[in-house]
Amino acid sequence: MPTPFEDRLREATIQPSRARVEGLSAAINRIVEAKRPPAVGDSITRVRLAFHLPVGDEQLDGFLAQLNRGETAVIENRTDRQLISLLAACALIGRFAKRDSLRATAAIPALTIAGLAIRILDSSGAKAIHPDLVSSASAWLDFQGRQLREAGAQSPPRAPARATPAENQSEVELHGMDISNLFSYSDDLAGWLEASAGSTGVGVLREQSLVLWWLNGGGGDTEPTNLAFQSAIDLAGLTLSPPPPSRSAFLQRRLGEKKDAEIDPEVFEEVRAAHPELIQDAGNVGDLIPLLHKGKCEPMPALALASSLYEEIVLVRLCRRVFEQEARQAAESDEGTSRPVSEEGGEE
Amino acid sequence: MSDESFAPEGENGERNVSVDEALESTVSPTDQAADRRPLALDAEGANQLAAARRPTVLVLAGDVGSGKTSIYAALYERLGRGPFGGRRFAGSLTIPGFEKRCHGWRLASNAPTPTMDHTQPSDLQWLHMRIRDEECENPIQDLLFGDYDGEIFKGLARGEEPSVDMTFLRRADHVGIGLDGDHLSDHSQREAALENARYLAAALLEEDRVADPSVLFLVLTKLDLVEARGDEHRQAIESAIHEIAESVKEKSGGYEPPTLRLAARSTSDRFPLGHGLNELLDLLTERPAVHVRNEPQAASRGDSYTEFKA
Repeated sequence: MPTPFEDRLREATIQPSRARVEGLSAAINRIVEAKRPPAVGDSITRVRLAFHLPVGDEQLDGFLAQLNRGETAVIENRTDRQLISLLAACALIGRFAKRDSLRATAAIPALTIAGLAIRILDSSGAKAIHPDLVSSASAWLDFQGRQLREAGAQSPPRAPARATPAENQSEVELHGMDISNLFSYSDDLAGWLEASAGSTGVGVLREQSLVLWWLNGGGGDTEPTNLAFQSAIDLAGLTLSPPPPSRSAFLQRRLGEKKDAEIDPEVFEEVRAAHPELIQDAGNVGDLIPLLHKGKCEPMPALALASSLYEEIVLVRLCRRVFEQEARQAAESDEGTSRPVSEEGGEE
Repeated sequence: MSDESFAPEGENGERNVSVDEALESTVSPTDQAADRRPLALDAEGANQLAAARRPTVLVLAGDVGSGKTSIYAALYERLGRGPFGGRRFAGSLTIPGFEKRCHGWRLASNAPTPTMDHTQPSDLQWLHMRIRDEECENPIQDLLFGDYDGEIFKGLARGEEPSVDMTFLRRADHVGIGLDGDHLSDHSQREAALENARYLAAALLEEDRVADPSVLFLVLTKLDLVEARGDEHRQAIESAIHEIAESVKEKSGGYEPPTLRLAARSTSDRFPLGHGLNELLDLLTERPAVHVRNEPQAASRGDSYTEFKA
């Protein structure tokens, strides 16, 4: 039975030899199993490649160098765009599949950005080289969104009941059981406190509280396009990243009866023009945020617009944070401090 | 090589060449390019093409002599005469291969009747063609036609171990099950032809054989011969097609394969060259490419809010 990788590879091959499949699989595994987390820039390049969007020569060379690091080069021709795009998608899919390790945690920023970009491009009508890329990105974002929020969703442990005496059980044994239960309860309580009172736990509880108040606020009589735009901005300001799996439900609740109203592209353009800060300092990710960047959109239901805009705003804000961090690191590096080595370019 | 070389290198830096080389160089660049083109692509050539662009892959499966190669050749010949079915010819890496296949149809072959050589196991399999919509509004589309020897499909229908690597079937975007109109309209051969087609459909629907049942379609070839034999035969064939379509539907969980009725190279005026091929072009260009999908691990269980509401 063909492996998922072999099946995906058929998008860029007809009848590959076993050696060819193994060579390409090894190249992808080297990238996926690299010790360093993926750099944000590398992830964005792979998304662009996987959607046949233009990439710079330097970025393409970087990806080819990562692929060709083995004993024999797997890609010799830069014009093999279909195969290169497919391998970029496979590298992302491989990363999305790794979830339960420290390395997976370190990869969260880059993969959140990649996942959001993939979902945005897909909903804007762009075609990924393979549909598995979109489903993997969505599954990963939803999984991480749930994982993150589980810290704040845990109920406190239930206090233990007094031990009930069994036949032929002495008073001393009963007390021993009670004490043992108390110790166990104390451990559970400490674990719960640690999860809930850590910065993530507090952030999740804060998010829950803010979203609850926001939902209760209601949309008022605002025009649907305006309401959709404002709701997306508001929710993006309240939620943590990766976004909550229930983001669409929140927006639906906020939009109420206006969720199905068709938006007005002209009003959209006016509202967008009134928020220039949304795309300022976002770096070169314009083609990954079609609604915010182009400012033109097709007529669609208000809920669909709000959902797409929400993800675009979250993506831009994340990119901005990453670029600022990189700039800071570069400045520190200039001052003589060591600079972290990026992903697969580093040692394995 | 001749010894009649010209004088040493001139002042303008031109390289001095022999008479033989000078004669060879009079071949136009276009001819040289055509000479380099193969009769067909082998697996490696097809892989190289697929690595650069995504071709739509069509494989016609059917018995020896059922008209598979004729369909590919007729498509080339018809598009060579000008736009057809809203599409125009936009090039090919395997022009010599198409020309060779069409040769027996032409007067230049000096054959008493139009003929088509059977595909041999040693022949290269992949024919390439590029087409574009007539208005040139959409991107060029690459097509790869798998021209395989009918014996391998016969073996497949019989349940024999394939003599060639048949993984190309899983890559195919469209797999046509060829129904030989000549055999089906002949009382003495109908049952055997029908049985073969039924077994072939079942073999193609085996697990992991094709990417998805939706790649399958039925193609009745030699429609001109069917029509020439009268209504009674025509009705018998239609019921046979219906029967095979039903068996595909049953085995694939409800997918109804479309049926094309072709007279690729008829001598009758009633069926012009390429009769029905426009429907094949529609199928190739309008139906989306088939991907083998693999769901991600622990895919989203849905929306928490929706779950909560439920």
